[in-house]
Parts: sequence; structure tokens; C-alpha cells
Amino acid sequence: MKTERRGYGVRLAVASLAVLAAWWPVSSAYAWALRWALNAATGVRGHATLMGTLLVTPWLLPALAIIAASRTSARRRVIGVCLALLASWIVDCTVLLSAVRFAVSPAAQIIASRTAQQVLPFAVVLVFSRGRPQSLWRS
Amino acid sequence: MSRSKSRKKAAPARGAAVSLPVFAVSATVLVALATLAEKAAGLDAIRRVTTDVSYRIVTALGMHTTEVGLSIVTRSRTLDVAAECIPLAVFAVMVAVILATKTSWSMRAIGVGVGASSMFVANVVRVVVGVVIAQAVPAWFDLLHTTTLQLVAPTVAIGTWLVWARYARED
Repeated sequence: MKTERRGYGVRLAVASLAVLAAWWPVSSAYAWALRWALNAATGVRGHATLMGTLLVTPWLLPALAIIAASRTSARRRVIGVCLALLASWIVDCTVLLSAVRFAVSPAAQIIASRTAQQVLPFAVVLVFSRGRPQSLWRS
Repeated sequence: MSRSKSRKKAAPARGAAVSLPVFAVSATVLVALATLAEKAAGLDAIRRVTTDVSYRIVTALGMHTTEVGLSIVTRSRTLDVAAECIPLAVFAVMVAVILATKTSWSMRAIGVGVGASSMFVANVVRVVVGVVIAQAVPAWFDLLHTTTLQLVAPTVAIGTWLVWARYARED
């Protein structure tokens, strides 16, 4: 009951801290899954240098905090965070695989990854709130 | 009783919805335009203003630095305010989401204006913090520059949009 009455600002601050605290283990698992997928798809090992510059996930942190703080059921928030990470992972895989498989130029890689990085956080929040961001802080 | 009534009055009657297809199309077009502008024009005018304002603030804070062109020279290194330091593409996505919101054009104009101002201020703060770190704790600069300071632009953009969305009413 106390949680329900908490202001949205407090919820957002708590969720941001929780997301930051969980960041290192989650990003390590994320990077491992990305490396595994790239190795499996290309048969080439060691895409670490590519991954360093192209990862979408750090940009996703504000969106994850917003989803985690939204006034909806805990189950829906957990599913939202997982789906946001999955969407980010798919985008990362697509950008990296297209770079490796189709020999995309470095300039095109940067444009594609930056576009994805910048659009994805907004898209994730919009999809989660079904196009009504106000529903995130209204109970 | 009257308190709860006034609270109800302050809240918007019905928040404006965002059209996802319009957002997808406008975000793609605007980010592509922003990236092209960054590559072609180099964003020299915005970089110049950002460098000047940041340098003045750093000097006002009592730090001994030098402004050389579009760079600020600290004790340990020279910090270039590069075209990538201007978050034009993030701003383009914020404009796209504001355009895709079903509200009045005046409200959209307010959103773009407030968004541009907040992002400029946040970027100046980011550059100033970067200079202070480079001057005070040079060993931390690279780590903070590539991780924490990168989060400033998307966080401010999403935050400004959400605050604006609170007041945008369905047109």
C-alpha cells in the first residue's frame, strides 16, 4: 500500500538505482550471449573490438529504469525489462552480423548502430506504454 | 477535500497518444538527416557556442584551462568538442516523438523549444564535468567519458519528453 502511494519521482529514483546495481552482471551476460551468437553464426571467434563500439544497451538504461518504475504489475514490469533487453540484443546482433557477413563499411556500421541506439530507448518506452507514456505514472 | 479537488484540476484531462508508425518514419528520417548534417556541416556553430560557454564556466570555477579553437586544453590533455559531442541525433529522435504525439502544433513547438534548451544546457554541463575530471582526476576521464557521460543525452532527452508528455493534451 505504501509502495502504491509513493510518488513517481521516488519510484523512478529507486528503479534507476536498482537498474544501475544490476547493470554489471546483466551487461556481462548480454555481451556473452552476443559473442556466442556471433561465433555461432560466423564461425569466427573474437568480435570483442566490434562489440565495444556498437553495444546498444548502455543507452537503454534510462528506458529500463522508466519501465521498472511504471505503475503496473511487477510481472508486467519484469516482462517489459526482459523484452527491452531482448529487442536491444536482436538489434545488436543484426547490426554486428550484417557488418561481419556483408562487409558493411565502418561509416555505415556507425550510422546504423547510432540510429538504433538513439531510437530504441524511445521505441521501448512507447511500445511498453502502448503509445501513451502518461500511463506509466498513472495508477 | 478542496485540496484533492485542486490536485485533480492540475492533472491533464487526457494525455495525448503517440502514433507509433509516425514515430518510426519521422525518427528514421530525422536521425538520417542529423547524421548527414553532422558529417557534412560538422556542426561548427553549435560546437563553437558549446566550447565558449563551457570554457567560461570552467574559468568561472577557477580552473586554469585554455581555449584553442574548438578545444579546451587542460593540465593533462586537450579535449576536442567534436561533432559527435553534439547530441543532434538524440535531439532528432526527441523531435520525432514530439511530432508523432497527437497534440496541438503550439504544444509541439513548446516541446521542441524546451527540448533543445534542456539538451544544450545538459551538454554544456557534460562538457564542463568532463573538463573538471580531466583536470582533477585525469586517470578517470576515459572511463567516465565512454560510460557515464554518454548517458547524459539520452537520459535528458527521455526525461524532457516524459515531462512534456505530462502536459500535452489530445488535440
